Amino acid sequence: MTVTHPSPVRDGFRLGLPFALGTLGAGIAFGALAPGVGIAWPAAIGFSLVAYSGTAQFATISSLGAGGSLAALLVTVLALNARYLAFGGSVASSLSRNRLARLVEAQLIVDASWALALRARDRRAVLVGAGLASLLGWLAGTILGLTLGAAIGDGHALGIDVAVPVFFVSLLFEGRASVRVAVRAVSAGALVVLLAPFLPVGVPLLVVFVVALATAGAA
Amino acid sequence: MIWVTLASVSALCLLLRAAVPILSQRWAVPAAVERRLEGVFVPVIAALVAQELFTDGRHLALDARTPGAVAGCTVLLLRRPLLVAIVVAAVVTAGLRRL
Repeated sequence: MTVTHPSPVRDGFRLGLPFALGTLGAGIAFGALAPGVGIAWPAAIGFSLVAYSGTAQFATISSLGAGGSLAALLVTVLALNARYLAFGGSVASSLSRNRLARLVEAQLIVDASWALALRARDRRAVLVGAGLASLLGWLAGTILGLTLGAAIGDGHALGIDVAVPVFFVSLLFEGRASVRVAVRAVSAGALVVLLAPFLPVGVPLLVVFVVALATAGAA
Repeated sequence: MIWVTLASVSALCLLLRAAVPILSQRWAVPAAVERRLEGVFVPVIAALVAQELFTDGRHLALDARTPGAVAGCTVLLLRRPLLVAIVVAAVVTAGLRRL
């Protein structure tokens, strides 16, 4: 197939395809788990479309499963996705001038599309193309997972609930490793476990957030 | 009730993505704040993992998911895709639950 007109958005889409496989897999896990915590299938698809965030959506599953408070969940999501503020800042100057178009383009910011866009000449096009590819994978995965979940019924017997911690651990592999980061991670885990018996569900996570915020940037 | 949860989490995600591009003409997140917020990511993720694996509500608990997650992490360490890690973790977890 010959491309007569260069289409940077299509190039971005192609660049995003390997990452779309990743979102497809995580999406399947999300879709399979959602009904178990009371998220019906139309809500699950809408959630994947609008929130479009594995971290936020798996944190929601975790919170609904444990019966944590909404406030604690929102602070957790804020802590996990505050990086979008930074992502948005670094691509803001490349987005369309039109406010509505900017808003739509900003919704396609995810880790992969942002990282690919930063390295591209046409940042806006790559962000949109790669963002759409990841979104497609995420939505297709959600629908597949919902179908799969309905077909196999009891996800608990099949161990599907283990997808939540494994998904979160996979995010830890993406960052730079250092002794300091490892110490912070282990201390945070220990703190949550130690506080769990004494505080309402979700509150230990808030404590970790506050302590981590207070001790961040010291290096 | 669940709609309130899903809608507010969605709204927060929308807001975090749109805030800077929409406001950037007049306002930017200070670099120090950005760096501080980035430093929170790993501890909060680690806390979520620990909470999932070692607690059940307000009780400390261990279940079949812990060995399953260890198996899944081993797969991730071998640089295999997330989906493979989840399948391996689920197989181990399900196997232990059936014992």
